[in-house]
Amino acid sequence: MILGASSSVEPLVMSLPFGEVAQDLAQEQNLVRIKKLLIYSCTQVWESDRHRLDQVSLLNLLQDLRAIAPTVEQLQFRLDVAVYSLSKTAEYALVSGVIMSRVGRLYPDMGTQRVLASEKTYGAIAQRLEQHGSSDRIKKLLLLACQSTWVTDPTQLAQVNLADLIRDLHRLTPSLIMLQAVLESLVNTLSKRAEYTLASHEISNAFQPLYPEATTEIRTTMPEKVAASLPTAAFAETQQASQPSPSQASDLSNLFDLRLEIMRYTNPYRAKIVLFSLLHQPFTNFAEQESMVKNQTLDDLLQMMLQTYKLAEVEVQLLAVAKNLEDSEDCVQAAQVILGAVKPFYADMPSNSSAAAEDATAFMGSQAIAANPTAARKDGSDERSGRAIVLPGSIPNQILAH
Amino acid sequence: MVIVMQAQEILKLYGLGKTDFRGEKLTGANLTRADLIGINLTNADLHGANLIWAYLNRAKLGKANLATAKLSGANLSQADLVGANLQDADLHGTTFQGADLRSANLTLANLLDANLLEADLRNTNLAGANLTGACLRGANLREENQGYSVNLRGATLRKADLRGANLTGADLAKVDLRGANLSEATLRGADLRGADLSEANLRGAFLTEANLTHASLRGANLMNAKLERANLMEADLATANLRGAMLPDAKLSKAHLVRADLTACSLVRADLSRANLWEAILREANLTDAYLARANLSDADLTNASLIRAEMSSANLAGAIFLGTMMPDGRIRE
Repeated sequence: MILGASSSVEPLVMSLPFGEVAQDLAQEQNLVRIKKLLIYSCTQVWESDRHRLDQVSLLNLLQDLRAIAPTVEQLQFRLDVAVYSLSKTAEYALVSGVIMSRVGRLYPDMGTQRVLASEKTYGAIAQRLEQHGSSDRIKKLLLLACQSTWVTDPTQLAQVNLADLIRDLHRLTPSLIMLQAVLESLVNTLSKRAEYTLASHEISNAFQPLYPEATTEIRTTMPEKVAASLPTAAFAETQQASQPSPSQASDLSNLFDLRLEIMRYTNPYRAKIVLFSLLHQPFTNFAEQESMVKNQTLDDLLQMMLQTYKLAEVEVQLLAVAKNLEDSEDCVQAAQVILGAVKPFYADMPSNSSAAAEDATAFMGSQAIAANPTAARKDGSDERSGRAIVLPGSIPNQILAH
Repeated sequence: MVIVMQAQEILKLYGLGKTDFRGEKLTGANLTRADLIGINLTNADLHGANLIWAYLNRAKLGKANLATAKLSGANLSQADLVGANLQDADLHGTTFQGADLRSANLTLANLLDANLLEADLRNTNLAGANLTGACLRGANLREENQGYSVNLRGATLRKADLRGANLTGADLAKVDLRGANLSEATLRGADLRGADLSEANLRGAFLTEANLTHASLRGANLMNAKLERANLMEADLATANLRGAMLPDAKLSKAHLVRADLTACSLVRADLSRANLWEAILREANLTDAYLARANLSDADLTNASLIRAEMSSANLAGAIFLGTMMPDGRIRE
């Protein structure tokens, strides 16, 4: 909900605290995505080159953005246009929420930022969701949306403060329609889609009191409005910018050579067990865990490892995990083959800095994924191509609709 | 406990140097982790046996009955499995590298993440099998004689690695090949009707005369693929990458080519009637003698393309870009 935005432009723009806002944004976990979205909103060019992204100054971007969008409404509209034209709508809707919640000081006329509800309201919603039969699924989904982590540990889930999560998600999603889009997109990345669809409906229903009707209505019409205003030329440009280069060694959607290397020199089943033990839980009970390993492909596990661990970490941890498994000699051999095979792959990846923590979306077949709070995920490279990690073929509808 | 005895007995005899166990009855035997390298189990009955982690490298298992057997993690590299029955077997992460599986029955088998590198799969029955993530590089799946091709009806080959595999004339109708690697694979004359090849990598693949009617190739990479005389009627090629692909005489009638990249593609004499090419990129494409009756070329980019003698009198050209384009009458549009 946006309040009191004025269309008058003339505050002393230069006296606005651009530096402070830039600093705030620089602390955000999603910095890379924030920059991508800001660049796209200002220039309609989709920048995915990490080096260039690192070079871009947030301060300049904010100044440009403030010049292009002198009112909060214009800013929100611009961000919406950008978000709806991307394949990862849900992820960028959240990024847009972060930006909107930080740039308030650049719009003094805006008064307060989005008015959040009272603690009592959040508490009531929390209570309602807590009592629901699938409250664990609801918590998992909320954690995934707010913190990009997938937690299955019952103790951890029991400790979750639901009201905090509800407030966070409300802060990040300015409209019910946005909330629904975010949840739907996340559910699509999970294996138990039917179960989580129900959980997401429960969340949307419970959140309804947070979004006054009028706001919801305006927002409901947004996609068409957005679609109509999308400049075709901008698409051509962004599409070009996002064309996958012919030899993208570090493309996470193409791990065939890596898999081949592993299969040639070790047992694929053994390799999966070692990776499963690293990423989820030690493989100790064949009868119970066999089906869990079957739920994920070697490709899924490798993707997850590459997104979660830096090379230095994986070198230590994979061997440590392997040493403690049954048939440790074979497991260590498999671990060594995996490490040998991934090394060149890591070298080709753009950067291993944890600032790139992104794309917590590779949860295919994720029934048994334990929490991995330290997960520093890699940039999913090209967000526009619909390749890679998230929704296969998720080209935005409005691009194909005509 | 006769079966257990037999399993132990076999292990004992094998330890003493005996390898010939032809025709033995070992139904349901527990041979987990057994080291039986080079054993001869031709015609043996291992129905429902537990062979998880077993070493069966170079074993002779011709015509053996391994139906519903558990072989996950087992090593069967270079094993002879000609005519073996592996129906419904659990072959999760099993190694079949260089194995001979000709005429074997693998119906409904689970080959998830299996290693089938350089395996011989001619005339193998893989109907309904799960080959998700399996590696089939260099595997031979070629049609042996007319009517004796590998049967993959209803199989799942998601993200399977078939790079360079020979699938000439293979029956892949309605097969799930989403995200599969088929780069440089030979699929000449293959039946791919209704197959799902979305996001698949078909770079440089040989698809000459392949039947891709109603196939989904959405977002697929077909760069430099050879598709001469291929049938792509009503195929979904939206957003596909067809840069430099060879499509002379291809049938693309009613094909969905929205936002497809056809840069420098050869479409000589191709039938594109009623095809949807909205916002398609046809820069430097060769459309000489192409048939474009009622094709939708609105907002398509035809910069430097050649349309010599192309039939396009009923095409929708609204917003199409003609820059340096050689028009049907031979004139260059500036």
